Parts: sequence; structure tokens; C-alpha cells
Amino acid sequence: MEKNKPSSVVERLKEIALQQKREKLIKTSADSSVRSCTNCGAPRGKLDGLTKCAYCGFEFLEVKLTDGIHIQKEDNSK
Amino acid sequence: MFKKLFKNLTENITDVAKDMMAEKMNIPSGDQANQMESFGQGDMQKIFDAGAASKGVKTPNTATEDPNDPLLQPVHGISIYDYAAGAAKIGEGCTDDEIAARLGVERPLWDEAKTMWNNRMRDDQTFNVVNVYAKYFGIAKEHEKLRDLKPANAPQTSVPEGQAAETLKRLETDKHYFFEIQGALEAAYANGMDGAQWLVDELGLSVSQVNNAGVKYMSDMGIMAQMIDYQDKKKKEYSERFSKENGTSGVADDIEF
Amino acid sequence: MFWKNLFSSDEQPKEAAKDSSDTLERAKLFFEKMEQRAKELVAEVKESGQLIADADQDPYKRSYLQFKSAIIAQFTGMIDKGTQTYHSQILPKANFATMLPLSQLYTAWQTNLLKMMEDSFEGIQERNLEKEYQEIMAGYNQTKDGFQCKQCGADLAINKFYYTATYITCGFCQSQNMFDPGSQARLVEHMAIPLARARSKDQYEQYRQKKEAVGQKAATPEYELYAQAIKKEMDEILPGNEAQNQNFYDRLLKDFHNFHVAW
Repeated sequence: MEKNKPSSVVERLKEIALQQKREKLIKTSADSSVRSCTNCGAPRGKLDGLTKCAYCGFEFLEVKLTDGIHIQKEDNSK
Repeated sequence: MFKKLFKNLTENITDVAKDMMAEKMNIPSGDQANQMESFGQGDMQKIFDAGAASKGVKTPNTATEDPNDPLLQPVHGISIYDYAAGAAKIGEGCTDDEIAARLGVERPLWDEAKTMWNNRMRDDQTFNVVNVYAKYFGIAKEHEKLRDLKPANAPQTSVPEGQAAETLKRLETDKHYFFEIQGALEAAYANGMDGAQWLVDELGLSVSQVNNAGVKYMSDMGIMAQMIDYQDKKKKEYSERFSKENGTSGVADDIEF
Repeated sequence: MFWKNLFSSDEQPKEAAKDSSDTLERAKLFFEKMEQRAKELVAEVKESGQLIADADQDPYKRSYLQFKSAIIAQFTGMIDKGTQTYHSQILPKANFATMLPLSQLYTAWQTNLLKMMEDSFEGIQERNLEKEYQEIMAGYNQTKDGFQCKQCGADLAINKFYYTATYITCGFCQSQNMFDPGSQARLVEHMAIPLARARSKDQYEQYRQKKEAVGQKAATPEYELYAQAIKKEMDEILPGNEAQNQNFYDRLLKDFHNFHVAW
């Protein structure tokens, strides 16, 4: 049977594979941002830690930071 | 993941079975007695658990959640349940930003947590972490913060949302239907299709949602063994359909003895 | 069934012999045709495989993988068919004389088909990981020096490769900026292990040769060198992950000692 020939089956499989429709993968470029205290507008300084605003105590993050990859326990605000 | 576990341990299970048969004339004691009883009752999961334990390996049934286990501690406050539920949501089309926001953390924390949880599972040779993860993945829809999270950009499908929800319910409650869809997935890949996309197009569901619905079946060796023939039968049926639709029947179908 | 043929006094020995030699001939023809068809499939895959891998723009190579799954299914389908035919149509017609040759014919054919299946993908490079990695790193290095602190406008120093979002301290005003490396950089995390393995091919080859010569256990030092090479590459690809990479290394060694390594 013609349609069973390896060449036609492989051709069909190639067609299906290369024309396969999928959800588009979202590509994002590198970016940077900064977060200021929503309460008093103060920036977040390195020495003050990541979790609380040094000026008014607003909690940027309610979680406790642990020793991760680049983020460490020391980054918790006092 | 359980296939991998099974692959590494089947030798040991066969040995256990052989030993039991060889020693059936002796009076068993302790562990062996339990194993024989399990074997006699056809309780494959118990045998699997016993075989795994003898290799120092955990299974879904024997996984432990010791609160002092360093491998189970939250990463930046993100627990293994948070991670598992987040993974399920990613499977539904939610973005990492959406998940981080819902969990109340900033993106760097979520990113590091994902990496560290993934690495803990990867590097734990007892398989305990991955089994605990599987448990929480299976109850992702009960996660307090994430359960109601809907993706802003869900995978595009013409299947109405209500119908997809019905299908999901059916997968959770109808064992045969779940394994039928597993067979269909296998058949799709066997015919050169993207099975995951087929699920979206046909059922309006993601692979993650489908597999999540059947975690309770996939964690039970007994059920998997029981359903293997049924799944195979369904695979053949779907394969016939797909090969007709796509023109991808077997290259040697016409050769007769 | 064939026991009946053997011992029945009604048996016509000449007819039985002809019948069974027919079976052997027919079986040979059948397996030859199957093998020939498989050879044609191998040739087609060798011709198209690399083209498909190269044309697949998906970062996870899903199109190529669905093609490969289907080809594997074609081979396993042929093996299943041959096995079914052997058990249900050929064996029942066998007798003492043909039993062994038929069994050998089937076994040789099955082994050959498995080899052909592997062979059809031999030499096809699914992904050029090194090329992909270098492209991602080139893009990263090109853009990383173009960021300014969003608080004070000073140049933001991004001194290493980050594959996750992270906090960068502005050297001028000390503000914590959040830096997101983008989706391409994130792909590197998942490429790290296969890329590290690919770069450690020489050490792997030395391990493999030693293992063939003296067995897996005696080749342990070579395996350790291979695992160390992988770890070293991973440290380079994913800076900051050294402790985690060490865990991966420990796992490799534990698995090596506990389980039979198939490769």
C-alpha cells in the first residue's frame, strides 16, 4: 500500500511535527525595577534588609528569608 | 516519576517474590511474614513499599514529613505545598509573576524557591522529598492562596470552560476514564502528535491538570497494574483513530505471514 | 497441538515434514520482508532526522521529540507485530525439527530490529547545547551593562550571570534593585546538566573504556573523575550554585554505588 511506505509516513510525521501549533512561549527581556515603601515612599536600602521599611516598619515581605542561592538569612530586616 | 522508581526497583521486587516462593515451606518471621501476607492478598503497593524500604527508598505511602527535616524546610517562607501548588498552576497557564504575587512574595524569592525545591528533589536519593511533593501536587486545588488563581492567558481552546470543568471532574472520579486518557496520550505521541496540545484542543485541559486529577491512581501500584491492560486497549483504539486522521499507520501493516 | 501431530498414528510423516518446512520458509520470508521494511524506515529517518531537529525552533525541541516518539512507535509496532505473528501463527505450526531454527530466526530478527531503531537516530544532534548556551550568554553580556539604578540613575553593576530574578545593590545609593535576567537566561538552568555532561565527554569515555575492561566497580575512580568534571562545568554555568552542585555530585556517586548504571 502506497500510503504505508516509510517515505510517505516519515514525510507525514515531518509535516505534523514542523507544523505543530502550540501556545506561544512568552519571551521576556532582562529588566530592572525598584520598590519603594507604599506607606512612606522610602527606598529599600541594602543595610536595612529586604523585608521591612527602615523608616516606618512597613512589611515589604511577610515571609522569613532563608539561606537561598543569592538571597541569604542576613537579608532579613532587623 | 513513578515509572523511574518502578524501573529501578522491579529487580528487587522480583527477588522478594522469588525468595518468598522458595521459602514458603519454612516458617516465616517478622518482615517476611508481612511480605508473604501482602503477596498473598495481591497487595502490590505493600510489596512495592517493602521492596523500596529495603533499598532505603521512600514511596508515596511511606514518605515522611519530619518537621525537623532540613530538606523539607520552607525556602524564603515558600513551603513544598506552595511550590507544588504553584507548579500545578503553571501547568494551567499561570505565569510565575502571577503565582509570586498571589503567594505574597517577590519574584526573586519565588525563583530561588523553585530552584532549591527542584534541586532538593533531584539530589535526594531516598525519594522522600519527591513523594511529599507528589502528595501536595495532588491536593493543589485545596491550596488556600492559589486554588482560585486563574491564568490571565489560559491556553487557547475552543472547548467551553464548563465542559472542561466537567471533564476534569470525570477524570478525578472515573478511574477508567482517567486511564483511557492516559492511553490516548500515548497513542497521540505514537502517531507523531503533540499529546499535550491534543489535550488542550480536545478536552480544554492541560497535561498538568489531567495528571493532577489522577495522582491517587498513579501513586498506587495495585491500581496501575490493574488498569494496564485497559489503558493498552484504549491506546490501540485511539491509535487507530489517529493513524487514520493523520495518515500515520504502521509502515509494515501490509506485510502478512 | 504439535505433540498430537508427533505421536498420532494417523500422521502422514511426509505431509507433516512438508508443512513444517513450508512454515520455516514462510517465516523466513515474513521476517525478511519485515526487516527490509525496517531498513527503509531507518534510511528515511537518517535522511530527515537532522533536518527536523535543526528546523525545530521550539526551545524544548518538542517538535523533534514528537517525531522521534512516532518513529520509535513504528519500530515497537513492528516488533509487536512480529512477536504476535510468531506466537500465534508460526509457533503452533512448528515441530521438533523447526522449533529451534524458528526460535533463533525470531530472536535474531527482534534483536536486529532493536539495533536498527537505535541506529536510525545515531549521530543526530537534537540540540547544539553549546551553541545555544553561547548565544544566550552573548545576549546576556550584551545587555547586562545597560541598566541603571531605578532610584538614583547611576549605572547598575551586574557582575555575574544570574539565571533567576535577584536583588542588585546600587553601588551609589545602596538601593535594592530587582533584576530580572529575562526568559532566555532562565533557560540556562535547565541546560546546565546536559551541557556539563556534553563538555565532560572525554572523562566519560575514559570511564566507559575502563568499565568495559575491568567492570563497573573497578572503574569507580574514573567515574568519580567524570562526576567531578560535570560538577566543575556546572559551577561555571550556574555561578552561585556551588553548594547545590555539590549535592548533585554526591547524588551521582550514591546512585553509582547503589544501582546498576545501565550506561
